[in-house]
Amino acid sequence: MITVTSNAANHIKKLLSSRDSKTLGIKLSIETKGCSGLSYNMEFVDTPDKKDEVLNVDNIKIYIDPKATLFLLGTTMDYEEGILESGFKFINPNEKGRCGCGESFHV
Amino acid sequence: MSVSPVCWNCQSAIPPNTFLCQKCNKIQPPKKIDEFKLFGIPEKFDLDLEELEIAYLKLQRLFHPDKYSQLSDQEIKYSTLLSSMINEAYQKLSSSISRASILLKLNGFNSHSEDQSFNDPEVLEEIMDIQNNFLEAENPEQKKNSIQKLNRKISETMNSLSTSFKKKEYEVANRLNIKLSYLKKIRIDFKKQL
Amino acid sequence: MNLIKIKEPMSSKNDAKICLGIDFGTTNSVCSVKVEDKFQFIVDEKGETLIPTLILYNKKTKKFGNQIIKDENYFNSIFSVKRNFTKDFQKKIFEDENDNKISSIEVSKDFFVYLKNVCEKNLNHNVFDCVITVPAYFDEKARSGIMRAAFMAGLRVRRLINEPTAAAFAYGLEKKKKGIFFVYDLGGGTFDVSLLKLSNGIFKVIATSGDPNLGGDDFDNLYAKWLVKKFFKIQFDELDKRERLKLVKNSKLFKEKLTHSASFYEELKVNGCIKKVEINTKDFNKSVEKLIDRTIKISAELLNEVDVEINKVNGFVLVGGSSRIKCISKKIKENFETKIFDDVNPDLVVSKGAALHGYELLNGSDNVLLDVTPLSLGIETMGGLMEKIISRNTPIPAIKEQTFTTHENGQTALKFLILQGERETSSNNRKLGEFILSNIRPKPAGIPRIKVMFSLDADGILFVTATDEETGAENKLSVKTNHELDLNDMRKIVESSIENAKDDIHQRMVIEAKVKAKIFLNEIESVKKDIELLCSVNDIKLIEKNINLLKSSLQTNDCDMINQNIEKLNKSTESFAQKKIEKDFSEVIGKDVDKID
Repeated sequence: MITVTSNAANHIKKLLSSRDSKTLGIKLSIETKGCSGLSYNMEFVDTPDKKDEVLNVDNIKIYIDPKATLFLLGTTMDYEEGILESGFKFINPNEKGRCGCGESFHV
Repeated sequence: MSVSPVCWNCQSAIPPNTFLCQKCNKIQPPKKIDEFKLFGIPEKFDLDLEELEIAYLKLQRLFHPDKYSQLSDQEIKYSTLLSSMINEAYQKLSSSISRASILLKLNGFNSHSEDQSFNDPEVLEEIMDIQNNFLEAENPEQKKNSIQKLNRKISETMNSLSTSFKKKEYEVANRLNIKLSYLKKIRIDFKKQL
Repeated sequence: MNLIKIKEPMSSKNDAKICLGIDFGTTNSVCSVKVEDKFQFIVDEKGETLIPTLILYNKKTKKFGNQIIKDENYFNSIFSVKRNFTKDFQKKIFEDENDNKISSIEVSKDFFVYLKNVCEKNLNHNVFDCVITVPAYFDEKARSGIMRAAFMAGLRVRRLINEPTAAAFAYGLEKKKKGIFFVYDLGGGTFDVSLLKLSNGIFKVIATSGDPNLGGDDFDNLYAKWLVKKFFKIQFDELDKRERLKLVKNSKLFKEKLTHSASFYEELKVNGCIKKVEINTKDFNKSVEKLIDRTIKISAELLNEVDVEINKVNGFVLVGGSSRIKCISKKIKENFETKIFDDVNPDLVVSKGAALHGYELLNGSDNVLLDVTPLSLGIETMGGLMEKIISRNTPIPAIKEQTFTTHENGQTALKFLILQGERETSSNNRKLGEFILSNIRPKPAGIPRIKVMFSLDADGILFVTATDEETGAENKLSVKTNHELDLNDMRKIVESSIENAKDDIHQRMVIEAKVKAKIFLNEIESVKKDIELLCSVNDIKLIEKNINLLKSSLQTNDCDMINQNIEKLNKSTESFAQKKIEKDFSEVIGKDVDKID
């Protein structure tokens, strides 16, 4: 249901390897925030929530908040390394609009 | 001379009469704007009060501080300023007297101020009559009748005021507006005495 | 566009947007919360939703609410502390468990701490955010007092909302109502009425009125007086305090029982004498009639004032525990041709409205609450009259600007008295505070133009800022109000304490230390000129160094360090304080000598 580019996968692996063994993977969720309503959220997972949907992408465990599945369907996650800032980026075919600051979107 | 303002956050230009950046959606500081433009409603005396209220609520939905309670201090401050401005403008347009004053001002006519002496003998006499009529009323029923009479006078004055605005007779409109404010003042007094 | 970083685990859970709705009542308090679409009331350790607003300090222990109900020291507990917010709530009239004198604010703080702990136990989660309800007719001073107490308890107050508005919000959302509603809210200590327009997610208060000192307590007192006079032929005031409290408690129980049955027999014991007496609705109604008539009068005046015909009003919504008194709905029907809606729990609906609003504040919503200020705000003018700046029933937030000037040549300061109330003479209105504008550039009289902005925010709290129109400098002018810390500063302190505090107790210690430090720094700032005048260069350097030390320790959450630095600064300013006293003293003496001449 979600595609992770090799660039993003490599970076997640790198981040995970630098953490202690109790970290199992990463979790994706959607928050209501920013000016366009919804925004993406990523965090490390030490203790997973039973309700989360678990995906195995490229040997990385990705936990998905059940409330976010609908919004994340078909999304591609990429990693971008820039001069000023680096971080993950979501390319979402469901997005209809995005706010200028880039923090939030609506579907 | 005025430089068109830019967004404090993303520096893109802010079109006149708007308070949200079209690019980054951030709230902007308030700027001077006339009440009719603020609500985007036609500049006229015979205002559709329902239309005004809808426009007012629409703006408060966007700018009330409740919508900004989790954002930066600066944005909270702007929302308080804007929301206050919207509240004040709404109150002014809701009252026919201050609405008339705004219209007079917008049409370049220096409207009456509270302390300006007023000496239109005809109007003064009319007001005295109404007051006497009320004072002479012996029972609550008569007092109520007297107030009803006053109410009729008020709506008559409103009608003439409206006509004078339509005819662009601002001198007349100003006089009628002063009369209206007197009539409304004594109505408050009368109601207190009921 | 923003790139997203991976956050630490649980961080989003810790941010879980939980916002309590706290109805801090005169007799009972109720807390509730909406978490992830589920609304719930909070229950205390006895499983009760209604938590009596009682605090008992006794032998090194503190007890609260239902913990006290069966305690032998029940009659020594603090009752109705909320009533003091309309009086001088800073006065230290109580004693805590260690016999320290404390004020109503501090007592309320302890009660808020208790409520916070109860909620945290219920939710198994730390909570900081809350919406607190206040009587609509509370003035600004009472509102800010409640806010201060909650801040000191480590709660981040997201909004103060009016009790009738909160009730209408919950009622309107639950019953999906539209139209104009009149909320009649008779609580334990306060009476409020609000006229609201409800439409498609908009909750707009048209006008509000009330009496901050009329509530169920007064009914109990009046009925107690009547009982003792009728059955024992004793004047209530002749009884000692304990007997009075016992009698009032009994009359309260009778009142509650009368909502279920019309008459019954009870044993009543006064001054050791026991009598079996008949309790009935008729007597009760008669004894409290004048209070009910007062609520009807306030209701009628409000409808008259706003020019809304009664047939435009969909009905009266009855709120507040005391609205259960049977003859109230009867009286309303007699006086107004209207429907009565009593299909909500009048004790719980206010807290629910606060919790629902709190949820929406933190999670976003299309609903809007638009409220008004209950009382006019103004300043004292010459001759002791009050000049209105913001009149009652003005929608809030409201901002008004006024320009002031000087009366004398070379005048460098202006003093204002800020008032709230409806009376013409200022002494009959409540003093909110004095503020002094200093550092005005000396100019001939009438030349300086000082623009003063009075901002009544969405909480009903007033902020005053002043700008010298000539220089446009806002900060150059110092506006000094009370000795208390600005509520915005307090809010920031609470916010910073939330981020790093180890536990609740630590958090409150941090808040206390920071508030103390900030007040001290403000004091020093206000005498800066005197310091430069009276102290040696070395002393000034030392003071400045200690000021900076204290300021930088304020960035941390290390309360020991903050307290140490307060002490350091205090030590280094000791000699200055002595010199300042001497200087002020000699100035006074000097003036006296002039007079003799």
